[in-house]
Amino acid sequence: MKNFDTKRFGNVLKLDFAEGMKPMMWGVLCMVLLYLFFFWFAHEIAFHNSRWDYVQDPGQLMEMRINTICEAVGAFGAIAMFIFFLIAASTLYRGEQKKQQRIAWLMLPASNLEKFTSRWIYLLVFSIVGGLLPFFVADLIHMVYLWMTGNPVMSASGDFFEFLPHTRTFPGTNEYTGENPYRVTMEYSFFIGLHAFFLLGGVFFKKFHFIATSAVFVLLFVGWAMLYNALGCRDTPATSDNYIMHYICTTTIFLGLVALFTWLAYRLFCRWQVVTNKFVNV
Amino acid sequence: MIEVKNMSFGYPGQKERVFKNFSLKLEEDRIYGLLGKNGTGKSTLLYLISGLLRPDSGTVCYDGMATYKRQAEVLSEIFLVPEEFELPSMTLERYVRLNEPFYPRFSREVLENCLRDFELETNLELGALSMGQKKKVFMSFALAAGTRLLLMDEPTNGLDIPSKSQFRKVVAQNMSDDRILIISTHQVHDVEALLDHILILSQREVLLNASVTEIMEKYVFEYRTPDQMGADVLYAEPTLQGNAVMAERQEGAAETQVNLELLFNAVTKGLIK
Repeated sequence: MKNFDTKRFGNVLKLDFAEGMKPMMWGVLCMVLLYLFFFWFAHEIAFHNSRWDYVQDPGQLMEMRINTICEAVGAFGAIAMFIFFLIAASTLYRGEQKKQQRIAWLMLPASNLEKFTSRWIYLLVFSIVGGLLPFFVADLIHMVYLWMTGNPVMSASGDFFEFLPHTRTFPGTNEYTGENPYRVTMEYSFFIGLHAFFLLGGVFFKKFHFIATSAVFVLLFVGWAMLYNALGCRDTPATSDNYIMHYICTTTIFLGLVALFTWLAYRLFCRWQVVTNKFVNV
Repeated sequence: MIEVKNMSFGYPGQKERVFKNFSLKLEEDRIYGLLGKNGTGKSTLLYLISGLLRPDSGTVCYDGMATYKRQAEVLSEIFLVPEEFELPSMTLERYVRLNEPFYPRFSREVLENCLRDFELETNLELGALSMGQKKKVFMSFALAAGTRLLLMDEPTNGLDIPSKSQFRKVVAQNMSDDRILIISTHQVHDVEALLDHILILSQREVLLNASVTEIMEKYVFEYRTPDQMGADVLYAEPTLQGNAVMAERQEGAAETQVNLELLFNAVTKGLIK
């Protein structure tokens, strides 16, 4: 008896994408509208701001305004994409909220592992396509608008990508506390860990997945911070070697949490029943 | 074969268990009628058999494999038609193309025949169908899937009068020797002629588990006038045609068609065991 058959898995994947196309299109549309709203809002702020009044050259003034717009939208876009990524993770089984949908999904002749992996892949594609693609579309629309209105044409995509990896050196940071590969790896592993946590929340909670998972995350975070302080771990390491060790250890912990949350989500899915408690899937 | 052994089950948050030490065996080549009052656990039993619920103790096995594990090979032999279900908004052709690979014995020919018997076209848009039409399409798909275990929860709910006889015809035509069909229903008249084994459930136990042949050998179901009511009458109900009677069958007397409603009432009142 095979727990993972590639042919059957392919069929589950096909089914998942066929049935999930509509929500994906809705997600893309919502994100395009959100990014366009960011552009509109940034225009409103930039064109009604007096901070550049000292600039005499209208061409230079316009360039500064649009540059600021692109930077602002790039930053907010990156944050929005991150939140979308978490929302998508927490809605892994949103389609199975109702008993009828749950019956159809659980009775599908495929193993739990195939169903879980297929949905996870769909989700990954959904969160990447739904987060990234709309930004490029909105950016393109913005550039067309700039061109049609005779303004300097600039893209916000560069700023968007600059904000995504979070590699900027912030004021007061040095090469160890700021931009370095260890820190970037740690931050990415934190994001993936957070994603896995929201994935677990999506399987555990039956309703209000994102809100419930966020609430639990905040509670856990506060608890952890209090413990961290109580144990006297607040003192940051002083030497570069200590910093690197600190980043490596933290990255390992985060990656361990990714494995733990994903495994828990899978185990929980294996134990899913058609009738469960009102708010949680146990 | 389905074997339920010493199974206990209760829903979370409810003190009363739906099943306690419940055992049952279901054999191939039979159509079981699962009857019982509301809340006696008919749908729950179907969910437990199909692995959608996990027993608190005891086992539910299909050919020796526990169904709650939901192994792909077991699931490909079980099809459940729930009372309420949803079909995705797509064409029937696309739905079939996406779902047929999961059922190794799926037959397009059976699907087309069933749809024809239900007076439906094959080029349907599932999102545009009424509930009754959806039910017909889904039942046709269920029969075409060729699974060895087919579970139907209230299959005639939402079907119009001609469709009910079409349903009986379609099911009778597509039963095979290696198949088990369990129909859970309140609409006993709709499936009376179809069943060959009756299971009547009450809270936590099986009140009656007998084949229709056994019932017909033991009892007669007929209409009698008040002066014909003898000591052999086990249960009677007044009707416009006289008294609907369930009586012990005398040696040499002709067999009669089982009146499921009478049988059900007699059993649930404890007059027959």
